[in-house]
Amino acid sequence: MPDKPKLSVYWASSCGGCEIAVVNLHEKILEVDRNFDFFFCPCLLDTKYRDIEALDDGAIAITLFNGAIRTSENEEMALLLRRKSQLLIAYGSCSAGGAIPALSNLSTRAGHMRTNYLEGPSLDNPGGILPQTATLVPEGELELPAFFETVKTLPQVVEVDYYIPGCPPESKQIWSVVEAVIQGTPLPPRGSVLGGGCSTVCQECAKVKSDKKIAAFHRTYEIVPDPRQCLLEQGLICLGIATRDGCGALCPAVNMPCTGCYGPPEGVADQGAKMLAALGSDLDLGGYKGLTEEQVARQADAILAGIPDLAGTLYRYSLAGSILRRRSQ
Amino acid sequence: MKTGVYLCACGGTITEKVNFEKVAADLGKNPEVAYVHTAEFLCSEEGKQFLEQDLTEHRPERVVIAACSPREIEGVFMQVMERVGLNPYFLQIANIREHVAWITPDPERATAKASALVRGAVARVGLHQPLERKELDVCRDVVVVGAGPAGLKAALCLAEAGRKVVLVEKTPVLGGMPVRYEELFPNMECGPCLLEPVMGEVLHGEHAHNIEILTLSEVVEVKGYYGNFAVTIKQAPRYVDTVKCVGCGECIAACPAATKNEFNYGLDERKAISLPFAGSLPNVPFLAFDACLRAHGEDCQLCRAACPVEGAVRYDDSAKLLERSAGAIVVAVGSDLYDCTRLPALGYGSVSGVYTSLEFERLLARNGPTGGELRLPDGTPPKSVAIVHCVGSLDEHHQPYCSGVCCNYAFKFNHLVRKQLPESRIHHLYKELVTPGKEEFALCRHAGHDPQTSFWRYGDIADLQVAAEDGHHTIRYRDTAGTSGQIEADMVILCPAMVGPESAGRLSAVLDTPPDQFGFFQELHGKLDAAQSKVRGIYLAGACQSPMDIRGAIGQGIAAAGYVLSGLAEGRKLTIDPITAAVNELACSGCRVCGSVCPYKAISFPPDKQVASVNALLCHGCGTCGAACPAAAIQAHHFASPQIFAEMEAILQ
Amino acid sequence: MTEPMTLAATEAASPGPFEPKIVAFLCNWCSYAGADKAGAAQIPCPDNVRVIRIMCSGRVEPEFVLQAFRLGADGVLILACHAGDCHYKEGNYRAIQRHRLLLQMLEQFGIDQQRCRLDFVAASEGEKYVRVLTETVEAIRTLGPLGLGPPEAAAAPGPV
Ligand SMILES: Cc1cc2nc3c(=O)[nH]c(=O)nc-3n(C[C@H](O)[C@H](O)[C@H](O)COP(=O)(O)OP(=O)(O)OC[C@H]3O[C@@H](n4cnc5c(N)ncnc54)[C@H](O)[C@@H]3O)c2cc1C
Ligand code: SF4
Ligand code: SF4
Ligand code: SF4
Ligand code: FES
Repeated sequence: MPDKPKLSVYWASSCGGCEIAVVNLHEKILEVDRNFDFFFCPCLLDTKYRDIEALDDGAIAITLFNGAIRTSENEEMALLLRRKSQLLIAYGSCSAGGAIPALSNLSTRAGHMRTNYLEGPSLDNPGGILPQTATLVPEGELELPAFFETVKTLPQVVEVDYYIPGCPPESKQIWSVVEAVIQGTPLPPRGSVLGGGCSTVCQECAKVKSDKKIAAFHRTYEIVPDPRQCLLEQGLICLGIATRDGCGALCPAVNMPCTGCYGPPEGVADQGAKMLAALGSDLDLGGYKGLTEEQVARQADAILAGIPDLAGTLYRYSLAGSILRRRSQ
Repeated sequence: MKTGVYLCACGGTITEKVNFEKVAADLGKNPEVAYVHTAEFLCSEEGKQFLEQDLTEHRPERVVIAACSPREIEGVFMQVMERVGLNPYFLQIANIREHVAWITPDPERATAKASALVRGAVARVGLHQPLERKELDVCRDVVVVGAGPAGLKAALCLAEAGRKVVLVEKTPVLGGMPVRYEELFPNMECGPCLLEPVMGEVLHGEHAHNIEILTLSEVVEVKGYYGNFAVTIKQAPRYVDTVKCVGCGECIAACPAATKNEFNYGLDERKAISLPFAGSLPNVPFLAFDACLRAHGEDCQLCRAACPVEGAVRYDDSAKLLERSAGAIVVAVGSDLYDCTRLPALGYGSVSGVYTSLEFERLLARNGPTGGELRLPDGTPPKSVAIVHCVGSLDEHHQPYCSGVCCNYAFKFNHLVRKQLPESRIHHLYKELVTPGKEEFALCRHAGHDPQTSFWRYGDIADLQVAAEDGHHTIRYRDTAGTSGQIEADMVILCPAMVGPESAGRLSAVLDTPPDQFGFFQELHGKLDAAQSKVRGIYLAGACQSPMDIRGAIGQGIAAAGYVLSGLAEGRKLTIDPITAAVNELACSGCRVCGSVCPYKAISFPPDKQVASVNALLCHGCGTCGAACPAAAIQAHHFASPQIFAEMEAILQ
Repeated sequence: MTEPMTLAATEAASPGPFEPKIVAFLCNWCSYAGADKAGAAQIPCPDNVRVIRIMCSGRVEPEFVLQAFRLGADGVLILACHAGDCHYKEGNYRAIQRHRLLLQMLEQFGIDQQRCRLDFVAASEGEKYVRVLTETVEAIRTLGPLGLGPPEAAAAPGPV
């Protein structure tokens, strides 16, 4: 049906939860199908690369691009889909901020190769063979996409029209774009975060908040938090304070601290740094009177010892898009 | 952005190292820079005139001055900007003197660094906001808490200047501690008399109509901030109308109920309706309901019946909550004595004949329990008196400081005892002797020359032991060399450290002024602003801030009044420095991360909004909350992140 | 006067040692005054450090530090009032706490702790100011450039 606008969903470096969110449209998916030509979605449809290449530029109305840019293949698809799409939407936290795949930026490519192909306890690789971009076999040359040193976000590779963050995103946000396009209602300014607010998750969180003073940090399995009170105040690292609102505070509502999947709030460049700033401001040393600089530092360290993997915790969804982006080499 | 740049040579001390031509050439490439002008001495009178004319002529949108430290010069040039009608906050100083020319030996490097700093200033100043000093109407009335010498003097100064003052005193009497002393060091003038004229003025003087005196009262709640405090005062019932009462004392004579007299530290009794002591002001008895027979179910009405004035004694009086507004609060609640029972070996509370210095003051006072006569329990005068100095002072296990008052009153005691009992022996046991001041030493010398007075220096008060045997005390001590000694005395006087007032905890919680490590009210700065608390608009006077004598307390009372009069000056509004924090209410989530960081409690969360709100009057502009806010919802005016980033980017180029 | 200048000129001509770029955040009341003091005493000081004045060390956001690295700084210095001396009572304590967190995190980013130093300089400590600066410059000179460079370079692709 050539008159229907084309919709594509692409899966780069990510877990597939974003596709599940599409399926989670439930019966609305039929509506999508009625109004769109669901043209490309490697996990559901058999459209080929060359089919997309063959399209005119801008032939796809909407592309929901999920996943970070980990390999040359991810990058190539990003460039191609950008060219072919009118609206390219960074869909899900991996494409917007790098998310879990980008935590590998805290290590190096060589390190990953070593761990995955040489040192893993379940490996049997006596020859120490590492994957190659090109391998000659009797049948000809086999090709693998290159594995980048650094995981990038989608906007670091191509221009992005909109963002739908979330890990996974909320199906209702997909629906709201689809609906807007169907009905021709004007979309928000380019670059907007669809369904995102201009504050942080705490605004939507119903927990009772008081002036924060944190005397100890705990992991979620270590304590049973008071369900009425702010989790951060109880020592659970809740990223709600430094995470864009819009999700409806789903996690804290069930006593799980926010892990930050909506990314940094409006106007914030670095979610992790903001978390750091806030945590560093609210440590409860029980008063400073008479303490030396050294004692303050030691007491702070003692409290901070309760946080394993600080960078991984504070940058769970935003490392690739952060100021430092990766471990320095 | 059209930015005018001025390079000041500072009489050649900058140009000796920094090549202005090169700096100017560098800046010439910068599209933001409209012009670069140089001056020999920009801060001189001619220099400022030149700047004024030049700014008028070129009308730049922003100004960068490369000269000496902004700490020195910023204010001067801001004034010039204001004169020519430019917003003074559109200025940025690049410090190329102290931070470049004077510390960089190599001229080439100095020039490069100067260029970078000026570049940074240009980049930053383009983002400066047109900040305005705001003005606010204020309440000029004052609440003074505590009616000792410090509070009385502060109240009087303010009333004389035409200010309305509410004087809140916890007890039924004015005058604080000194009205309970017979005589005062250093000149041995009469204690109650010293403050008489001040209290007279406060009660009946020309400006008394400006002072509302609330006795038996305490401040229970304070809301608001400098210029606009709302103060709630709880007044306990006196049961005697202070206006109607003529002070004849007929009621006291008629009262059949007696109770321990706390104004004499329980050393005698008083009536349920009584004056604290003879001559106490205001001259209006008060009824202590606990001691009154009416509290015990009897319908005694003897005092009311005895009173010649209709309606002066009122059994239906009750506690009141009074609301007063004030622009400033003066705290003058005095001090307490270190608890001597924490040194049990000294026998206080367990051995009779051992007194604290305050109790001893009452024993010496003619309006005290013994009419001023020193007597042992058996009624005979003591033949020997031991005065122990430094009780709980200069001691790591107790209070580490010296109160600076005790030695002086110990020698005052020496003088009074000698006058009354010429034959008696007086022993001073001390750790250190401290009597600074141009008059104070006289009493000490006097004691030193008295053949019947002896001095014993002990090493550690922990080695001091007071034991009693049939009314006779033996004091064992060890001197600084470790040698033990022993003194006999009929009466033992302990001179404990002055400590923060008992009410400091409650009151400082109400006022939000945390006490210092010793329990005194904490001053803003020990030298520059000892009469100011850390909260704007709350001032400190007298011994509640630090141990001090009456002269010091009076001086601080005047100082506190001076702060109020200059800060809340007549006909002037309060100006608010615009370098404060400001909340973007749309971005703020109400997470309250910032709530605990402000050292001045300037951040609050009004319940109707659920987002942070910075009180610009309380904010001192440190920017800590701006750094803490994880939502970037707080902007630190004049030190905003974009400004810092721009400066950083330019200087790193 | 001519002698050292010739020396400096020859030094400038040869490639010379690595000259680190360092950004220093100085609180207005103590550290900046201390720096001024060093200036007034004309104590020679390495020119690698560029000062940014802030009112209090409590204003320093971790983002400032990260951004400084990103913009090409090889090191960052935060100078504050000594404990108990902060003009705003507690700003320096918050600075210490945030600094401890930063150090813990920078380590995970492979950035040596010496590149982010917090120290305390009073208004009277002109000499300490110069000492801290000199030590920091030397420490970072030894470490070499941070080499974060523009973000694009860090993200350059390569074969597996
Ligand atoms: C034994 C002794 C002898 C001394 N002799 C001398 C001397 O000879 N010469 C000399 O110069 N100094 C002497 N001093 C020091 C002198 O007592 C103090 O310097 C002086 O009392 C300080 O005055 P002030 O107004 O600060 O406090 P105070 O005199 O203590 O007055 C404080 C007032 O505040 C009231 N108050 C307390 N709490 C509250 C509250 N919460 N609300 C309302 N009101 C409250 C108290 O009832 C009191 O009226 C002596 C001290 C001692 C201990
Ligand atoms: S639980 Fe988390 S999201 Fe909720 S108020 Fe606390 S910090 Fe914010
Ligand atoms: S820290 Fe920021 S977001 Fe949180 S309450 Fe304060 S101003 Fe609002
Ligand atoms: S800038 Fe400082 S003083 Fe002002 S509100 Fe923020 S923390 Fe308080
Ligand atoms: S003012 Fe110097 S650290 Fe706060």
